[in-house]
Amino acid sequence: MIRKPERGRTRSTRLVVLAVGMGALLAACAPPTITDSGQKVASLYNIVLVIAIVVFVGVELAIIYNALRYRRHKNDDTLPEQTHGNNRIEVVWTLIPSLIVLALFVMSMVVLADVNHEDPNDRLTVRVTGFQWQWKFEYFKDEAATQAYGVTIEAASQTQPPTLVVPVGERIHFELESADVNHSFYVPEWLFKRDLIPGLHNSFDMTIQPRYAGNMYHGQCAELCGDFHNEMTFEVQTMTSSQFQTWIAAEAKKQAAQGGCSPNGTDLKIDAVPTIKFDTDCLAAPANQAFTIDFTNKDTTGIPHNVALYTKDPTQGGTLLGGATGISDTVTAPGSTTYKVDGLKPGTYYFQCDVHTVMNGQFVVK
Amino acid sequence: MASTTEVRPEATTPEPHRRRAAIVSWLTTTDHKRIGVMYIGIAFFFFLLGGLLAEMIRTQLYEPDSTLFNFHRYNQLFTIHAITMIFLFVMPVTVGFANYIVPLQIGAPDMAFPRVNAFSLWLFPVGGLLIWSGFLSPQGAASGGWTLYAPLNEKLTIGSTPGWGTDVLIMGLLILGVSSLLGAINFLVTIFKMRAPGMTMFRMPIFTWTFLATSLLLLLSMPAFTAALAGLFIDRNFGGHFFDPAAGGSAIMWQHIFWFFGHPEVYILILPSMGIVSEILPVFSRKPLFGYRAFVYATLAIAMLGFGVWAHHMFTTGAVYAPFFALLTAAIAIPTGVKFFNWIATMWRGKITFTTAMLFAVGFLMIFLIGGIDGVFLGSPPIDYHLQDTYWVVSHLHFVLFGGSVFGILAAFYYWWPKITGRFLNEKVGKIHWAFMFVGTLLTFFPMHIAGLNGMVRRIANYPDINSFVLLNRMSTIGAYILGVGMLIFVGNILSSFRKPVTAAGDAWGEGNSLEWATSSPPPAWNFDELPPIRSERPVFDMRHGTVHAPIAAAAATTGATADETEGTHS
Repeated sequence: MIRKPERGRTRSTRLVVLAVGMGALLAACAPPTITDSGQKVASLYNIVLVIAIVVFVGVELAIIYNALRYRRHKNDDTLPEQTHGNNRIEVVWTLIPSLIVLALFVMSMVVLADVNHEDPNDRLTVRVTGFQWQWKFEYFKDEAATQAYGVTIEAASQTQPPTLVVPVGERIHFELESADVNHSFYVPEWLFKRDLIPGLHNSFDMTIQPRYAGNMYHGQCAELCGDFHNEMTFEVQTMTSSQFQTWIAAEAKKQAAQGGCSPNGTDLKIDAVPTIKFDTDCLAAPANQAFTIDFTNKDTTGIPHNVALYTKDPTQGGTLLGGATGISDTVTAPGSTTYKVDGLKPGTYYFQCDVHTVMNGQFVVK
Repeated sequence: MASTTEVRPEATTPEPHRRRAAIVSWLTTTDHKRIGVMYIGIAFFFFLLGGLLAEMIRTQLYEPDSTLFNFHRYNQLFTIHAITMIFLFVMPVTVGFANYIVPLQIGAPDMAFPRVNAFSLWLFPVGGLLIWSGFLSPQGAASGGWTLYAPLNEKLTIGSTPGWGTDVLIMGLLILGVSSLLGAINFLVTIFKMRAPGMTMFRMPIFTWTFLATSLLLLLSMPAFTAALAGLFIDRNFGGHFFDPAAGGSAIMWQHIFWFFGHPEVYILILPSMGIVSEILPVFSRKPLFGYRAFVYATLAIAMLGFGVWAHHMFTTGAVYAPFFALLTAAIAIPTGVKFFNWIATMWRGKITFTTAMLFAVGFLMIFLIGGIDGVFLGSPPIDYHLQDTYWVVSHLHFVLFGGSVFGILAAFYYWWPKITGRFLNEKVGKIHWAFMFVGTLLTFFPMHIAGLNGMVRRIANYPDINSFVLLNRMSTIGAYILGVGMLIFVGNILSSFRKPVTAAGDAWGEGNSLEWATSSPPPAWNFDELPPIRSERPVFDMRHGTVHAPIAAAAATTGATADETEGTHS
């Protein structure tokens, strides 16, 4: 009669402990993933998790059991047996963890080979460029990234992240480049990230499983890259292959229509606007006439920019034509300047901010 | 620190001094014990500052879109929090305890180079204040992360690490590096050359062994870091391009050199705490440490392997040969496992007294275990591709450095406080303090695993309101406040202990094993009036319980028999 309520309480306590344990266990399982290699990583993770839980529970129980079982009783002044050690036991508990970690290592290497595998015959290639603090995605028809689709995705503004559109069910090749500091391209549902490091070429292949078409996912820069690291996000939109083909054809047409511009007098105007952007990606001047460029830096206070004209992208061998004289010739926001440039021959040239080379555009002379 | 200096008794000086004379004598001392106390005091002051930054970080993260601190300020908070906790708390506080305890444990009158020792000490607050002075810079303190990755910290790009906050950080770290190097050499010479007669290497207490390993790690890793810091400083201020890829430098080289130092650094932070726990568990279990030799070899194995695993911090760069570093990383789990089993076997069939020091030692085992196991996940490259730079890593490193290092250090405070001050900390308050720390640590750091697993990246001032991130972060923040209250309780315990009279006996716990318990509490300036015979790794135990087996141990030492043979005769 007295034991009944006690037993009930013990049972409910046990149930609560069990529920909390199961909850923690479920939360600790591999998160949902949408890629082929992600599934393999998730399986590996879950295997490691099971081993980890067995080891964790076993060792914690051993600690708690020994600590409670061998408490010294009051007034017990006897010395316990002075055991100094046992070589056989040391060998056993060196070998057991060795075997466990060796098994984990072998399994990891198998999965690693799969995750890092790159097929040289990929067709769709996305070149990802990270810069403070945005992403740029360019689409190509071949692995070497020479045949462009003419589609470039960039953010509309700092608070509107760009959307990477990808098809499901086919291998997509990603090329990673950084324009300034280290970044890391990370989509949690891919269970994968890879760093963008200036001076280093990184790439990977990824296949999204067909059943995940038509969804949006959140991506984020995972490597500290400065003040707005926090806001360096992007969205991932998945589509079926045919939807993707339709989308990219329409997008290429749209972007082609926007390209190019025509001269309108010799007083050109361009502004830098928040954050790290020009207000236009095309300037035009009449051929063989001197002209001026009024440059106003309206970007966040303290950020320097300039406008320099080149024959083409200077990283591809372009030479300076006019405007700012180099990276040290800048205007810090808020501020403005006027560049005077001699007449140029007709042609399509290139302009950029030397401090942030992702700020660039066409310079049309005709 | 000031309070410690002022109220410390002048028991070690032969005649009473006026207060000013006492302060001058502290500032000019070359006594390893006073230097140790000052290391501990100054480091504890920085611990409180670093803890304040941690509470600010956690308060910011209570809301997903908090505007308490702007992004630039938030980046400073976590950068200086890490730098403070690593370089201005854990390292100097363990150096402080080692300064006080190691010469006592080997029966030496002082460190080998007492003036170099004082020089090392005074470099430490100079470096620390220099680093913190960054907050006076118009652009604030360093904000590029404690890892100081290039080119973010190169000053070349805008909106990254402007101003002189980062420059004083680099200068401060260089000064601390010199301090650490001098200290490491000092400890190595002291341990190798100044041991009392009979104190063979394999009779040294484990804390001394771990600090020997720590000093070796410092000596071999710190020069690389110093060179890298000098290069970064030149890049920032004198037009160098060591780590600037745009001008032919290498950004990835920074990561290699940094982690070649940075990984041994992790062991520099945790080995002393492992040593502390290995002192406390045997004493309060009334048994010798199980597998003494295995423990020493495991410590040395960890120190050696620690130099071969640096690139496991760089798996996601795609620029390292992952299988090699994954294999060595897996291998380092083995000696760590051996240590765990030896610790547990030390308690097995013991007679355990739960002092606060013992509670923190057992708490160390229970919590550090989590940091050991969740590290195995990160050691697998494909899993690391997902978890790297997420809150899983933040959780892992705090289970190691807080549940591990800090719990060991708090155990050391309770264990050696009567030796250092002659007064006991209040045990009842200590147990409440322990309960706050234990619960607070689990509540703060465990939810971070789940957040990281679901894709919450680290070092962000705001986070998206998805995947229960808000709930998990609130749990962490509440846990951090519990830790804060726990530390206030501890500060109260320390301050109130100074009101008590000096009562501690030489063997304050009545159960001491190593030589620091063979002299008065606190010890005289010359440390020992006389030394007991040293015939095993537990000379004070032998003295207390008779030296029945001492001749056998002595014979074994001269004939070169293994510890295990003598261990057989011990029991």
